[in-house]
Amino acid sequence: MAETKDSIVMILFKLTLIAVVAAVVLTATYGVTQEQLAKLAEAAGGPDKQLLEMGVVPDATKFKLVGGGEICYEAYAGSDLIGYGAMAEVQGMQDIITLAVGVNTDFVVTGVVVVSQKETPGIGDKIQKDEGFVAQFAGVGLDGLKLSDDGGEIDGISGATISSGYVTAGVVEIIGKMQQEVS
Amino acid sequence: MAKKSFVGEIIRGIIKDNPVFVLVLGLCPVLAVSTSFANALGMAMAFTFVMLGSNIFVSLLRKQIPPGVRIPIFILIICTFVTMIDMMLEAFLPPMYEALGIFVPLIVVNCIVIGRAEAFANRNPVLPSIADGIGISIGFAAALMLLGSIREILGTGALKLMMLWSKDGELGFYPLSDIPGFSFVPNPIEFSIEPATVMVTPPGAFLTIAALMLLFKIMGDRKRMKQLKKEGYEI
Repeated sequence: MAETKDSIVMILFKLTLIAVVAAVVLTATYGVTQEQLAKLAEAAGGPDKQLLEMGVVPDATKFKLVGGGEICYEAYAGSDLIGYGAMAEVQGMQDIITLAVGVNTDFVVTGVVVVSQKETPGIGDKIQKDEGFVAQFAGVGLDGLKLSDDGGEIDGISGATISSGYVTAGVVEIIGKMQQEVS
Repeated sequence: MAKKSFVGEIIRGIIKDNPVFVLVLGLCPVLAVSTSFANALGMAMAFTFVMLGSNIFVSLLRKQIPPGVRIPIFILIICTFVTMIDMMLEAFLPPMYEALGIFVPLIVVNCIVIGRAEAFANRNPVLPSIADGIGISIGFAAALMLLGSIREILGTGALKLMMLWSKDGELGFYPLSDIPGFSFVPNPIEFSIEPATVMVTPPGAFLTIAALMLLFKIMGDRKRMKQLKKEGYEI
């Protein structure tokens, strides 16, 4: 290694110079990536468009944010109000799980989609990969939304009961929020 | 250090100085993201970008870096590359960004990268440093993908070979069978074994790493024995 004996001023100058160069490079990258991210967000559309695409309320043709609401969207078939949909983050076993939930006007579930999750690969991630699991939610009212071990109507995935429980609790939580926002 | 050819440096990084199996560095990301082949591949690519960038710039600046503050400067250089790849992954490969999560930002404190900056790039010219970066990256990638494949096969009973590819103008990870010329590769490759869930959890990574290290050690020792015998030693 070349031994350079620098004065404290020189050291500070060099550190600052490198930091400035790094800042310039990062600013440029930030600009490029933000443009791309904006494009992606536009392509994905708002929550209303995503709810429609996922079909959590099967007959809905349009979603509209509930007046004064934050996550709850009214689902319309033509001009008739047929239910509500919401997309929200709930606690999972490992990390946040994003769920989309659709209900009819009596708050009976019409559809649930696991939008994103970070549960244990090969175990908890079955909540997203096992389509049969979320399909069970359709047609179940609030009082049935428990794992069958606890007297509910949802069968947990064998080997992944903890994550299954978090999803079920998450659906209940989201429906609770929707009821609050609607009333 | 003896003079070595460019290729020699690369091979040294892959075999003699393999970061995972020989230097036993950077095990944290190795345990976390070697759950499947695709994750391993994504991590290996992010790592390669940072490793090369850091080695090149540390080597270029080596005569300018005041020895007393070299570590902060290394970290600054590494941070810049990590932040760049993190932002680019988020924008251009969102699924990979989701899968790798916190482990891309954590490349900043990956001891392989800073270890090579300190032990190699800071003392060698640019070309050998590039060779070292390539070798270490290939070594890391090979270890990660080998682990990822073994754990995916034993843990889920199938292997999905993924490749970075651009399809319909969209950059992403696609199954190998979707890529022209590779359509003969089955997707996923099924194995008739009972999946052992423990293999996709961190203990599975330790077991796999231990087994592979043992294997490589035996192979290395055998080779050494043969060489010693050839040189006329009694064993």
